[in-house]
Amino acid sequence: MEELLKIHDLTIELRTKKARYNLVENIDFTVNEKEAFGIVGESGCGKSITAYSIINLLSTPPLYIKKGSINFKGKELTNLSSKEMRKIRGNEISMIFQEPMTALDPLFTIGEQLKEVMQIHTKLTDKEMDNKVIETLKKVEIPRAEQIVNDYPHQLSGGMLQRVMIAISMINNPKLLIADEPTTALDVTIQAQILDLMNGLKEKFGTSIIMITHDLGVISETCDRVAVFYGGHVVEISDVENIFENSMHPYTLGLVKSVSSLGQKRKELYTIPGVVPTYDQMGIGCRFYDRCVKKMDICKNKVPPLKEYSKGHQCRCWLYEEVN
Amino acid sequence: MRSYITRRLLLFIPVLIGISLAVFLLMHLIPGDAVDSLLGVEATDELREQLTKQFGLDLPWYEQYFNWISGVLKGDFGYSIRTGKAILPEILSRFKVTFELSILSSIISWIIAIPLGILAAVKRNTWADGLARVVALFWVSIPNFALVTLLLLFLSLQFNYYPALQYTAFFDNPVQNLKTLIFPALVLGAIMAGSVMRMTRSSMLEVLRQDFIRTIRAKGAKEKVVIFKHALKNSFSPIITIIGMQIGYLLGGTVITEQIFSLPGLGLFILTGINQRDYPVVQGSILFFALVFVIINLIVDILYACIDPRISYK
Amino acid sequence: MKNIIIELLKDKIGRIGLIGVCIVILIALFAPVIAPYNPTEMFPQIRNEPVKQFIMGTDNYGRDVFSRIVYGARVSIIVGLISVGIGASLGIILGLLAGYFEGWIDNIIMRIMDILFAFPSILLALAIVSVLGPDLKNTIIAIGVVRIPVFTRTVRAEVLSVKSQEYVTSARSIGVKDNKIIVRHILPNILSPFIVQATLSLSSAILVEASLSFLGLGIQPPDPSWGSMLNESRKIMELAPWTAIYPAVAIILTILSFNLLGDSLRDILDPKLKNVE
Repeated sequence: MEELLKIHDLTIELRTKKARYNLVENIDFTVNEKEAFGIVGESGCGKSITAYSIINLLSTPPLYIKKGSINFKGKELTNLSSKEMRKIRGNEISMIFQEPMTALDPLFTIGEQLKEVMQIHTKLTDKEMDNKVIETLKKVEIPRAEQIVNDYPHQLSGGMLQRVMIAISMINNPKLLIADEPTTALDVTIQAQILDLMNGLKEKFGTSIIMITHDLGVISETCDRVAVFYGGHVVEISDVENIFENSMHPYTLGLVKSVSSLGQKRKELYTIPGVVPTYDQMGIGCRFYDRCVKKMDICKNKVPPLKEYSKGHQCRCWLYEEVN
Repeated sequence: MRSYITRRLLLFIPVLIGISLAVFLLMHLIPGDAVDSLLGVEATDELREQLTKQFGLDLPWYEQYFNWISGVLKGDFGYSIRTGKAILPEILSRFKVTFELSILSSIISWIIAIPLGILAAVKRNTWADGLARVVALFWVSIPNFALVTLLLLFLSLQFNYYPALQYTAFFDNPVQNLKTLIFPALVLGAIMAGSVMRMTRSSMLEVLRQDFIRTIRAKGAKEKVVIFKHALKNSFSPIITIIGMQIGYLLGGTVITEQIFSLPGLGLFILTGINQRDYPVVQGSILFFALVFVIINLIVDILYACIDPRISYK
Repeated sequence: MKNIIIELLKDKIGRIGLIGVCIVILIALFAPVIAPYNPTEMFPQIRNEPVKQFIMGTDNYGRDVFSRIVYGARVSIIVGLISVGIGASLGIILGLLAGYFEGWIDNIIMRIMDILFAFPSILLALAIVSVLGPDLKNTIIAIGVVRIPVFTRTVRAEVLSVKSQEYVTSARSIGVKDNKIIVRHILPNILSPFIVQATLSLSSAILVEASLSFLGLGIQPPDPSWGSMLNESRKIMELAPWTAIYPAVAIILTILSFNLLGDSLRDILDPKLKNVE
């Protein structure tokens, strides 16, 4: 398997008038070719800004990449000029978002918005673009594609719009698709259809996917490997099957437990006690310290390293360190 | 789209009736009889009666209204009590001046305000934005007559310059016409520019925060495309609204500007009418102003529907 | 209320506006103490340059410009407060009726407001004053009437949005009476947009008064009004620039202060109003 995207030691900083905070710190993970890679974590854990930083869509100011590297097919993305970055966006790396209802410009037709991304990156003729638009809409299983190209976003349902967004992101055959909570805003039945569609994309277009979600269920249905984020740190990376059976980090354990308790006839759902600390309340130790059921003295003052404990299974926790 | 316009036009009819009724009733609240003020106290009762009959003032108010409005619909706005001339031709010829002044000053304000508003939104929270905002806020606070008076004073004291005051119609002598109008138009335009700029800035900012802007950036579009193709088009509805309201303000503003610069426009016509208690003139001109204002708002509504497919869809 | 003032003082624009407005109001309140002369008293020194005796000079009739400016503040503030008071109270009642009961009441009220809105505000005020006759009382009435639609619309929109909130629906569902719901739940909620609108309306009312007086259709001489002072000075302003400069600056600074205050209040109280001009 070849590496497509390698993020190393990435730290993103929030600069306010009063202070600077690291929203995510020392992020390390790799996405391989034709792989679906999941990022899971609660809201505010830094998963979205990590994804946005890949194609430099951070809102700067106040967010800045402080250090680290983002390597895509051997190219260092953090050094690119904005012109070079524009050539990558929507062409080699594309992105879809959480709210399909607001992600499209209300004043342009679906067809115009699909064509726009080809006009930016290709030299196709108008006719070729028209054909490609219909062809791509069909690939994302949109019925009556010939009519829908002339519709405006407000005439379509949320599920349909998300399909259109997927079509826009796939039309230039990108190597990588970043999906930021693509099903969160949709009805449950529509969610399943969109996830099915995204599973098919890998084969139809040969694209790698980064799936960002707070829902381990989504990860288990779509992803090959997964990184668990907590409080701006990667706490565990593993194969998807492995994470359910052999989770190492106490936070992942809690997550898995709370998901698996859902289907069972139990009196009470499992919850992890406490809340995620906000960026200005982070301690100097392990970020999960306050809520951890297995905390030790060392956890309070020292961040554990992210280490590989078995093949392809990394974890950031003092429990597994020899020093203790 | 067509059904939307039809619906808007139908809604327009009751508003027109309401406006004409409002203008008519307002004018008939006049405490002193118009005939009294025309003739003075020493007139004979006979003459008074004769004139009252001549103007139809002895009829009940609804008949007077009906007579007046059926005349208006036929293009007959009645006759001036003072000069005995037909009112509509006078209104139309004077409206040309007011219209030219309004258009010129609107264009001037857009040229100043829209680029500055866009710039302030794109460069938000920089010194340029801060400066533009403070200047705009300061600017909208200046009453035009105060500004004009100070400006004229400054020009005459410092440069011994007096703006041309003799109005010439555009088609008679375009250069002379522009010479007389450019100064008042600049003043009115500059004053309008403040609010148009504020509106452009705030609606651009609002749009630039929306999700779909992120989508367009994620497509790899240049910032130029993001701003001019998408953000600007989406900000147009609020900008057009304020422009529509501004034109109403402008029509009011011309009353003062025309008075200061002695321009023979509709505003000055009303003012003269008021001072001479020539109520058919006042009634007709105010109705005409209100009509123009309502028509402009109608055009604004239709423009909305042209820009935004969601409106006619509802 | 205390919080609002603290927030205002934190904001640079709000601070300047608040100070300016307070100064104008104080001048208006203490006009007899501040003004050295009676504003209508005529001295033999006509068009006197600003000197120690007349710090802003005298006008064409030998009246002290400074005293007239000071009393002019009083006229502006009185016209502003009373006319906005009239417009606001009628506007609140109509807006509450329209928004709360909807249906035909709403329809009738709002159509009348549409018609009033069809006249540019200065023209409407002009028409009313011309009918009633130009004096202080009628100027106030005219400006008050012009402000009604603005308040009605603001209040109605707010009532409609508050009404759809769940706590109002639930109060209704347990049988709370209409007037109680209005007093308990709706009035406190329309307070913020109302304060903002009132401040901006004050500046607009003062502007319209000055404009009417400038046209000779507002406050009548010899009573002092900044607008009529400016009008009177037009014929003599090259000879006596001070008769034009001081009233013009007074109008500009006063309206600017109210606008700054209103702008800052709007940011503090009601972010969603930000786009309504």
